[in-house]
Amino acid sequence: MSPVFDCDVHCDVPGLEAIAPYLSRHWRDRFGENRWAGPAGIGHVYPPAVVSERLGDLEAVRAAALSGPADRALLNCYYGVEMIRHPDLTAELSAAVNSWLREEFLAADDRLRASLVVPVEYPEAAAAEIRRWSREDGFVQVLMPVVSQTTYGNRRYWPIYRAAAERGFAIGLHFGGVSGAPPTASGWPDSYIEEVAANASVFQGQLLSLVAEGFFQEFPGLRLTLMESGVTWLPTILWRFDKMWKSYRREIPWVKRLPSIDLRERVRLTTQPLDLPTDPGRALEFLETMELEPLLLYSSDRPHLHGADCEVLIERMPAERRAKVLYENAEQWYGLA
Amino acid sequence: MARHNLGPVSGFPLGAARIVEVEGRSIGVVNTGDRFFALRNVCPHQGGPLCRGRVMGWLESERPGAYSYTEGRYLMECPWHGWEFDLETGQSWFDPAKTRVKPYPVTVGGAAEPSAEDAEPSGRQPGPYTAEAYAVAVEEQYVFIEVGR
Repeated sequence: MSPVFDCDVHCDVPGLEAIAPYLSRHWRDRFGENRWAGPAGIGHVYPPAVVSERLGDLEAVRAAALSGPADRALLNCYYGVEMIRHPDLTAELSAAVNSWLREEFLAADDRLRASLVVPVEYPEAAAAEIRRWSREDGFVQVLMPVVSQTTYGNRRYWPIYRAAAERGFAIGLHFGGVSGAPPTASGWPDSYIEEVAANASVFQGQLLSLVAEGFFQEFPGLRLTLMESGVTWLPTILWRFDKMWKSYRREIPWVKRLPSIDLRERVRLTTQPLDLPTDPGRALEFLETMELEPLLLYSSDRPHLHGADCEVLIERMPAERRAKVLYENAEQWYGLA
Repeated sequence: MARHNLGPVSGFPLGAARIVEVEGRSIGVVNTGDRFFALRNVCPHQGGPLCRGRVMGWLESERPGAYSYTEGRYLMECPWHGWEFDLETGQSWFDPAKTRVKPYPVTVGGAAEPSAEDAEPSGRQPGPYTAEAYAVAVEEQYVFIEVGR
């Protein structure tokens, strides 16, 4: 069996008591005084039926994510810390979650890696949190919810990228986030289905912003992972961006070559949910035509279940390409070897 | 190469191309103040009237937020889609090796310098009559372009 690395598994803080050992006296007292149970996290972002189970400890993660098809996994803990506006509290919760990730999972099982949780709207605090950790701790990425207060290319977020680049972490954008701004480009949706269906456009806006504001020039070693973003939209937006760059590069003169060249080198996308035709033959044809396979990192998105389309498709890939998507792309991307 | 007198320098406003017709070609001639440039007035992208576009500074950037200009170098921006071409070499900004427009040498000199077209047909001899001549000083400089056949 060739190795399989699942690049998007969601462990879940089961409650404040799990991270209490890592919180300061002040915040433990405050939570008691205010009878506050912590941010809603994954339970707030997804309707209950969407998430099959909550992976709150090592045993649950091993059972859900390491017992096939994957034998190693990247944990993305979405706790919703960006919903907290208090600058000290959002930083405190982030730090506690990371300590919990380290002790509960990373220190206990070397098949696991994790993304750091950071107070993303307080970039200096986020950078300080990033610098508390290193790759030796098992962290390989900084998790940033895709909906943000302003587009992520903005220089106010650069302290995060600088710290991530120093530490050798990738930047990982994932579905989620609370900003005070609507989660669609057109305004506030009334339903979950609208938010989810519009999700790809939010990723697109972030990607365009990061390119235009010079993320790839300012941080030459930094990698960008798009998780749960879908993949089929990427070639069309690259085509449009390249075309527009020929006309408007004066606005962003630090972008010195076709943006698609940087993006193909510096951006990867996780596979689940895969927005492709259900017929695997046609889906594979699309991936090949658009040269997307080198950019794909296998993910299950457990415990958020999407159906088996993705696994069926990967199974149909020629062995060499399948090995890349299932493991080798991720091995190279996250430096797993 | 044939040399053509395009008229006095004063007929070429600063900073924008004047479109001239030479040997059936539409050519944009630009007076930047320090020198003259000329480019074929056809964008290689979709055939747009390239030289009706703006003459832009040579903008580069070392890093996000830094803007630098090179004195004496210019870009012609096609009015249709904004593609930029080096005013001196005709090379496009984004694909200098493959996408380019023809540049023409332009010089400035006195009107007394005859062009090949202005030369007397050969074989004619001075006649017996001489008119009274007056010395005329040409103070204005003229613009010449060389266009290959």
